[in-house]
Amino acid sequence: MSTKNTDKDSFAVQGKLALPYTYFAGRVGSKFLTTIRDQKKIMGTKCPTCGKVYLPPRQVCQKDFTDIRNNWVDVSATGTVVNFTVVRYEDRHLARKPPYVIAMIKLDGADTPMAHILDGVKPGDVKKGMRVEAVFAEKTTTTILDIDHFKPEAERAKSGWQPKARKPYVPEPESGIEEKRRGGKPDMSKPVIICAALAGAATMKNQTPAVPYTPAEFAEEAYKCWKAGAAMVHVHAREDNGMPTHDHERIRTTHDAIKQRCPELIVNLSSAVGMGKTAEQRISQIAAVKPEMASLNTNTMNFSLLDRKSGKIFIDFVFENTFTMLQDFGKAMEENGVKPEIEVYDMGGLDNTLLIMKQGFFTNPMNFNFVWGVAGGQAFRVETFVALMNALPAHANFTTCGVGLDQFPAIMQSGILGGHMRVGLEDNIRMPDGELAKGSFEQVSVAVRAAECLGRGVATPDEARLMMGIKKR
Amino acid sequence: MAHGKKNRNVGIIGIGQTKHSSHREDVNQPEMMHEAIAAALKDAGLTMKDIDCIVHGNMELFEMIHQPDLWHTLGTGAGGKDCFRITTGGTVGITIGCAADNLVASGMYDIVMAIGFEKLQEGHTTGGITNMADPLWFRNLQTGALTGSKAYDLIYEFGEERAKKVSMTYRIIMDKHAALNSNAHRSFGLDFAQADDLIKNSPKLVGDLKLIEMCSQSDGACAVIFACEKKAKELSKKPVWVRDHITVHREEVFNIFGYDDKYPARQTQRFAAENLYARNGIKKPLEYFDVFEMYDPASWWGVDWLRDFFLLKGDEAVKLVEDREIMIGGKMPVNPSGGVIASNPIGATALLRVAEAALQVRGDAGAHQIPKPVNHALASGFGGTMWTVLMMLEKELNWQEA
Amino acid sequence: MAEYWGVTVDDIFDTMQERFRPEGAAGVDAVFGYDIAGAGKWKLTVKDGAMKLEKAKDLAGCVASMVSDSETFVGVNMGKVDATSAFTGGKIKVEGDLGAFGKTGKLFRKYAPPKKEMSVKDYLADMFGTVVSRFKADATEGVDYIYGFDLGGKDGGKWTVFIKDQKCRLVTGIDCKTSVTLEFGEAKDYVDMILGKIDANSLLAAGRGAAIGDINIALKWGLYFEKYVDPMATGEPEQELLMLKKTISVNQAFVTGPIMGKFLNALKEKKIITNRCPKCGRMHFPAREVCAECRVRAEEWVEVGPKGQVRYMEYVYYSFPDPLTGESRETPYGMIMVLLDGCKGNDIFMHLIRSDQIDRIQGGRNEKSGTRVRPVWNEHRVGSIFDIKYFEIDE
Repeated sequence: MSTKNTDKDSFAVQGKLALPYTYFAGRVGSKFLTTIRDQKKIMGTKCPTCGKVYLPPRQVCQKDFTDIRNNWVDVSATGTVVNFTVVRYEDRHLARKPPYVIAMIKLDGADTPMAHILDGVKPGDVKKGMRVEAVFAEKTTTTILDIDHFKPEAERAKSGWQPKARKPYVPEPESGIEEKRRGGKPDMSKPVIICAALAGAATMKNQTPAVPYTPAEFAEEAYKCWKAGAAMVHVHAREDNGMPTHDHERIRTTHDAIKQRCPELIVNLSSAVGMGKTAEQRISQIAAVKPEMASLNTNTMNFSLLDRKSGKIFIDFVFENTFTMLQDFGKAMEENGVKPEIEVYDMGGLDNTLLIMKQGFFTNPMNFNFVWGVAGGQAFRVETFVALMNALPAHANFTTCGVGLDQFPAIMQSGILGGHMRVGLEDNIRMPDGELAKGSFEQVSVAVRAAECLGRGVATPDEARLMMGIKKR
Repeated sequence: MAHGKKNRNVGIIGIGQTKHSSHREDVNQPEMMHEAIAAALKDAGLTMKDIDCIVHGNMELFEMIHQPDLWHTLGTGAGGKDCFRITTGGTVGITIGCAADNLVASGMYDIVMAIGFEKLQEGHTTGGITNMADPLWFRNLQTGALTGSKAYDLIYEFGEERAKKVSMTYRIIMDKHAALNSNAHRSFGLDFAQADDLIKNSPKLVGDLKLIEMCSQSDGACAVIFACEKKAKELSKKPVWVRDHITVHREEVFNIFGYDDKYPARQTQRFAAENLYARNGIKKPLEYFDVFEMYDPASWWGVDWLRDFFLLKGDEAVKLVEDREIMIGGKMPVNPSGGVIASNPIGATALLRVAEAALQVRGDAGAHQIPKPVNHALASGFGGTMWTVLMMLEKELNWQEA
Repeated sequence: MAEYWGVTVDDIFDTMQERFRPEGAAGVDAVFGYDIAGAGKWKLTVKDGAMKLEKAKDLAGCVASMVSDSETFVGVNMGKVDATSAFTGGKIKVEGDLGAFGKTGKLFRKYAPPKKEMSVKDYLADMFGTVVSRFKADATEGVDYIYGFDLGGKDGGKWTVFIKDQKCRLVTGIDCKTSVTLEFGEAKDYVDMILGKIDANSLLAAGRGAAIGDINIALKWGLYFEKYVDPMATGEPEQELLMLKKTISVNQAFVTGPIMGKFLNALKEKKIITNRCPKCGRMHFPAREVCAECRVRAEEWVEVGPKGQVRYMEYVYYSFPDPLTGESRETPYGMIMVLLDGCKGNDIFMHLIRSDQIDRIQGGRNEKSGTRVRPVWNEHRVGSIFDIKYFEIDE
């Protein structure tokens, strides 16, 4: 037989390889993906040894092998593009039709970037350093595509008319301030400090889903308020189930999450916390966390839940704030460098403060908040507002907040009288037209508009610190 | 060929492994590997900073991850370090051990960590193995790692009753050993009295190879740290010395045993053993070694390979098993760990043989430590179509004096 | 009858009819047996997409029977015992046709033990029934409170809990002045609140509940009593562990090269040719460029067979995925090693045997010949190993 082999004998055979596989994400990977799917929330793991926050989360720190599988932290759904590439070829394995952008995105609060699709922007317009936010998928697949894609971060909301830039606030000599008020003339020279009370102790998710519970939700909501124009947020920390908490660790984590997300913002913590907390529980957390500002309540009063139509009592609760507590809390705050925000529910509370003030531990300027509409406190009345303002000690600032429908009228009057404004879901869950607010930030934008219409403009957090005498941390 | 080319001595100073299991849904691949690595580092009292180089190995296609060593860096700690990936089929675990030994012996690195793993639950072993065969010819026909031909041979040679009984005895011994090893995947609590019942009732896979006689499919990982003599003596109280190793490959063929005494087929097991012992001056391996960790893919092969690895004749190996001399406490304890029939995360399996043999030398095997002193241990790897690797471990560095 | 995990062997059999899946029984026409030690024997007849189950004295006539102890049988059905391990370890045996018995796996939906539910009344009984046992005496030094519970609705009721001198006492009804009384229009709201399904603030805000008296005392309840544990809750919810199932499929094209090509092309002509090593005389199947043992070129081509004798057959019972499709192969089948006429020693040619002849094949050894076989050629031949359909006995 022939011993010659020729190339004619060679030919190609079409073959195929097809095998079934089952991949396991493991505990860490599963939690990462199910949290995105079920809670629309992105979580990483943080190494306590080196401080690095891994995203996607890791079981062990890649640098030092510390076991971090149980050390979960929330990271933001917004971040920065650190690098990107444009996919221009088509292949059945690809997630999108070309051209599309795959970006390395470092989410706020994470130290490692994550690759994902960047959409809603032309490939030519993508830049390193671009701010982006996650868009969660409506139909979930329990894969990383439950974040459907990232898109450029929404711009700060604007009203139609944009006032021209105002001059920065410069503190005036104290004598000058008193001069301006003479003859009942309001001092309209200062920009308005807008505070957003993000949650309070009683606003629950079944009333409005926008109310934050977790540190990440607080951070996100605070960030949106800051973007909208708030200089300060007022915070009652919550457990994951929504219950108000006096747990130091939870309060600290919530406080720190806001500061990490939004370092410029003033965080004002509640010293009331929620119903049924002891004096010790109420003040020890303030001394422990040391926020820049904290609420200080001025009189023992009813703080109850009633049906406003029928007058039926649901919960009868006495909110205890004795003279001793006013004194001790006030001292503790001043000693810890925490500026008190003095809560005035009626003229009696203000008078209580004027008495205790004589001990001389309050530092100037003092900052008051006139609170309207609590069942047990004063209802909003224009005359009462003026009376409270006129009773203030010298050099004092004032702001105001109203429960429910009183919210917007109260801040308008405050604006006209030269005071400041507090809004937020703690006090009111609706917009002026009765629609549910998308979040405290939406109410902030109403306050911004009011301040601009009065020609006062909105104070930056640093300007607010100057006005209120707060030391930045 | 001679081990005289070894530039310097190498010792094993760290050993780690996972618990082997068929259910590791709780971890992904790098997370599972990390368990073994963390254990090996802890055993050695080292941190990742001390490791100069990593040798990574597992089977191809079993998990269908392309360049798995990249992803696995998360668990192996190979970031910013020299890392080699090796894959040689079933032998891969011991091949990475040989490679680590070579890398240290050559002087290139002082401390090298070999890491082998498999997550068989994620893929399909037999489906993957069939792809080893010539795609134009045998891929469509062959039966993966399963063959009844060894059973056929032994039945022909020793008669059906004796052959089946000795295979099942070997199997039950492995089960009893596995019961003493908390890391073992499977231990059914079998008893010798069950042998006849199992022979009759255990389902057949291929020919006379029964389900009970075949190795398990496991998820698991193993890491072993090799160091040069200087470092080993500095860092470890009980280094285990790698004396020599041999690798014997063959062409890819599936008619591996032969059916005609006039035409004997070359058996790599015996070939490897003969050559390794000859160059190390070992005349009577059965007397020289104190323990043997064998890569035994099924009990039939385990019985037959004892004959090859210890250069025995006729039914000498069969008698060793029948007399239960391969049990812990016997003349030649084989697989005190329970062996591959108990736990088989394939990419780690052959490295586990080295690791378990080294633990025996150190005296650290725990409940499955053999009672007599262990000075000389043997470990084997098996893979491909009849590839063999053998590695010899020593308690003392005294063989060079002789 | 003995219970395992709260379930008896009878529970499993009694629910077979309702768990039966006709779609899983398509093409099944067989009688299966179950021999469960300590429980009895059952015969399961499956035909035309329907089933019949009967207790039996013996299992004669069954194509396959499962033999197991009661605990293992219940455990496997409950998912508490790993079926593969039980089978491998001999705790479950199958007598008769194992392949046929495999089909029973698709016949039934998984057994789920009936879920016992607690009504609002049950919960209230349990909640108040455990009040005294949940009392934390140490935490009540100096406490002298009376808690009233006024829960409306058809399942509701009234209870009073007294705490005094570090002792706790429960009384049905409210007959005295309480420190605080919790009033709920619907007892279900109270139960849901305690079970954590709804928060207290929302109930109070909606007017569905009220605290009459000192709310501060109501809020202190949690200090004096351990949290109520739902007896229906199964403890820590097991984390959802994700897995991705995927058949990875890759197209490939292999080039034969001239030698393999020549060998395969000859099959088109119904010829089996190969090349012989000039040194050892070995013939390669398939043909190879060099002899790997002697490391010399094998250039001489020889035609062999096509008939020959079987030297050995792999009798394959075990099913595994075909690497070309990902689908499992039909079992059993026989893979034969044929010594074609003109070959010697170990020069064997591997192929399949006609599936109905598996049990008639004898292997050869040394001088002894095995069963004589011949190839069965395909009509349409393309130069592939499957130009030979299979071998059959040459008779």
